[in-house]
Amino acid sequence: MKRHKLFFNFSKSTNAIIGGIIIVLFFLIALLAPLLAPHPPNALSLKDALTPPCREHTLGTDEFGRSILSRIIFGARVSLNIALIASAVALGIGMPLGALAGYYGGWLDSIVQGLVDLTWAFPTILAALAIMFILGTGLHSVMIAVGVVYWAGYARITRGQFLALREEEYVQAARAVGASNLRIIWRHLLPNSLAPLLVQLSLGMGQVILIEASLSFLGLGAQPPTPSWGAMLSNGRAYLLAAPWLTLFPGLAIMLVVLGFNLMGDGLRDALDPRLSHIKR
Amino acid sequence: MSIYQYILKRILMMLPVLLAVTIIVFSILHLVPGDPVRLALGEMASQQAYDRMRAELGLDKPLYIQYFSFLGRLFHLDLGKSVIYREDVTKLLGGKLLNTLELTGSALILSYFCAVPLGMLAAVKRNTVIDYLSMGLAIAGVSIPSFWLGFLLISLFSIQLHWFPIAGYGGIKYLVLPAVTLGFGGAAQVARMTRSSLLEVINQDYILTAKAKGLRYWTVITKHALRNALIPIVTLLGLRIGWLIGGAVVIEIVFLRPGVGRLLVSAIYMRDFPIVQGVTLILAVTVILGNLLADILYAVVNPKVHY
Repeated sequence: MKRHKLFFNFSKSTNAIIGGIIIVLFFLIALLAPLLAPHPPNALSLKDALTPPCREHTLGTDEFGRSILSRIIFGARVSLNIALIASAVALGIGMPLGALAGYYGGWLDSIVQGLVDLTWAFPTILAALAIMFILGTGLHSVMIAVGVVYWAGYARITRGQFLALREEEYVQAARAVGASNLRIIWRHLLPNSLAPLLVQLSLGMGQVILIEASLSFLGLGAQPPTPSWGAMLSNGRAYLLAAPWLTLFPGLAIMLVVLGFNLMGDGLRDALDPRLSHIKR
Repeated sequence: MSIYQYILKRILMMLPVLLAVTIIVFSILHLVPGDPVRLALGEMASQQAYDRMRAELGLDKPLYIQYFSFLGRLFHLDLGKSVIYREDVTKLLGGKLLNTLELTGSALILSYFCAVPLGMLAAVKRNTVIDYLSMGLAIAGVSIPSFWLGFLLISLFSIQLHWFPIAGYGGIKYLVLPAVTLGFGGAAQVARMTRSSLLEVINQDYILTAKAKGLRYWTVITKHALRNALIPIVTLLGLRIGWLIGGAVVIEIVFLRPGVGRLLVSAIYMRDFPIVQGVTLILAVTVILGNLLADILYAVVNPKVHY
């Protein structure tokens, strides 16, 4: 599908636009965190501990008197950083393997397919936990674990695209004029396979944020005092009755940003699939 | 090929994956940086205890012998001994696995029972308030962190309304909130899938023919359209099983349920690798068997599948 047509379809989808705006907003919040946060995220003030939302502390404070708003703002950096890096790891592993499997087929394809099936035999969080057991706790381990867990989806999509495209006339024409396999893959097949990968990337980034939040909630991801939304929820659990704002706002932040990625992914998918245009709208 | 031969073929195809899973699970112990025995026992442990544990785990033998001995023990359902609890992992897992399966099974049933009618309603009432509301709920469902939803439900139904206990394990009262929490995200996906697959089917010629014959609208939808729309929904079942089992790990922590998820997380903290290996293996095998079941069900509901 031509790029301007894709943009036109995408811009017609209200959901996609809302999703895009949410994501841009969160990226801006993450980038401008030091300017936007009213207090330093790790500044302790025990006299202000567990203050409910008020003029001084818009979203209240936690058990150490740290501003929830500031920690949510800085937490956006952690979540988006992990979403970007873990997705890049997943894409970096999955796309080349899927491309090789789809282009060359044969035993290479069988091996990649087997690895994909094997990866999918493990529930995502379980696989991430097993990798975290090996690598140890911390955000770097989360990035690698989540990246390794999510590679299979990208491989499957790239393989499918390459299989569909490799016998197209323009690929045969490139082969006929003596283009090398690498050139065909890099210049012809890859650019034409990017659209569905983009959809997967958008939906996948939301999933990565959810997994990171779950791992941090379990105490295996971000370690104190790093402001992470999942870890904030874990700390707030003990104050569910006395200070519900400790869990309410970080949870809302996670939901909003994941919603943004999901809406954008959905919008992109609809824009790319003309069959869905009559169904969805 | 009969359905039985098809099932047999699927089981045979499953065996290499199972074997590969055992290799990966076996490797966990050897991929941990440093000496796993020192990590488990701590630096202060005596040389005698260290040697005993190495011998117990068979770490003094060549790698391939260790693997075959691991595989041999698996055939006798022997997953080794927990480093911390000093008990057989199989025994530790037994009851807890049932608790986890009870939670995931309830969440699965709940999500399908709620989501399929909701997705049907959204498709039939397309572009109405009902459609927008149900699909809005569905997209929120896939975006919401399950453990946060658990907190919200506890705040409302346990702390404010006192309808259900906050946490723990017991009768059905203890199961409702965890099952709803776990099932919500899955229900959202199933509802979205039901709506879109029903909408794709609803405009097909055979549906128009059924309508033209004068059949009642809901008969056409439930007897003709839904049967074909069910095929992708059943496909989703296989994926859902893995997702739910993974999700149960977190939900068990939120609701303090004694399942394998809680056991796994505490084992990761305490570097109890026989438990980590045991839980990973058992859950992966459960997912593979669940997928097999979904594949068989898929073949049964889809007349286009040739055995």
